[in-house]
Amino acid sequence: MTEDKEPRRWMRAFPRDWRDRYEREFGVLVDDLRDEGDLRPSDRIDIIRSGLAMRRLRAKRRSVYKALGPVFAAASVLVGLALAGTFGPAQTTPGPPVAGQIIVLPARTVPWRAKKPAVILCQSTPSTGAVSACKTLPATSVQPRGGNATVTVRVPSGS
Amino acid sequence: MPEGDGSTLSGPPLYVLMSLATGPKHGHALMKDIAGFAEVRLGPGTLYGAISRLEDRGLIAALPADERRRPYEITPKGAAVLEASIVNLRRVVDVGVSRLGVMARPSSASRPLLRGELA
Repeated sequence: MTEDKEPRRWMRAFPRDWRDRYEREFGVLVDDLRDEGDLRPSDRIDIIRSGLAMRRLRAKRRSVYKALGPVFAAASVLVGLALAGTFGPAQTTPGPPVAGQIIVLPARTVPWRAKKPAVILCQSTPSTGAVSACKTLPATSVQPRGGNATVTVRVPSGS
Repeated sequence: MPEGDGSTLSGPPLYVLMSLATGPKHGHALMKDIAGFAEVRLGPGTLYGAISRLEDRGLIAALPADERRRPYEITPKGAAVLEASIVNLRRVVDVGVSRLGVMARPSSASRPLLRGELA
């Protein structure tokens, strides 16, 4: 292996997707440092250490996504608000409903001054956008809080 | 604290944001600038590790490549995080300075001893 190619080999410590994005410009930086005589022996350790750190970070992210995958794949939930037969704008919650879940919505979407505000929960399939299994749930409490209102609904089990 | 972020930066990511606050720069220019104002030479791996994490978080953005070099610029979100980080740093420095001040002042019990030693 020639000395010129050696720094490029160090970059293999980084994950492939990282290299696909940054290898070209990162290689230019290494070339610039070498041309200036400023590529130090410690830079080899720095590149390898940083590459391994990036691999650890990516692996950690993958494990988190793997753990949360079924939650997000199952369904997201659309939240609509009913007031005397009219529906407010739909909001998407980050995951399926949880029994007793507290949902905070902006005031513009929450007719929280209604006598009997209600929340419509629908399941949707993220990939197709299809909506199904809608249920009207009366708000158990509505508390104005600044410009928002905290709407509490008790989600029945199995929703 | 910037809204929607919930964190402040330190170390290499902070240096990169500080450097980009004066205008877009590519990797080599960033290294030189940071070495100038922080007296720290970031290794190329450390620098690009910071760049990629900042870009992932939307705090900096890549500009079209200039020949083979790709410059980066700070985003509005990055500027907000930088400001919050500096405010936080200043607060910590102020605490450190005030505590150093307390430590530098000899207590009343030690003053006679110091005078005695000087005499």
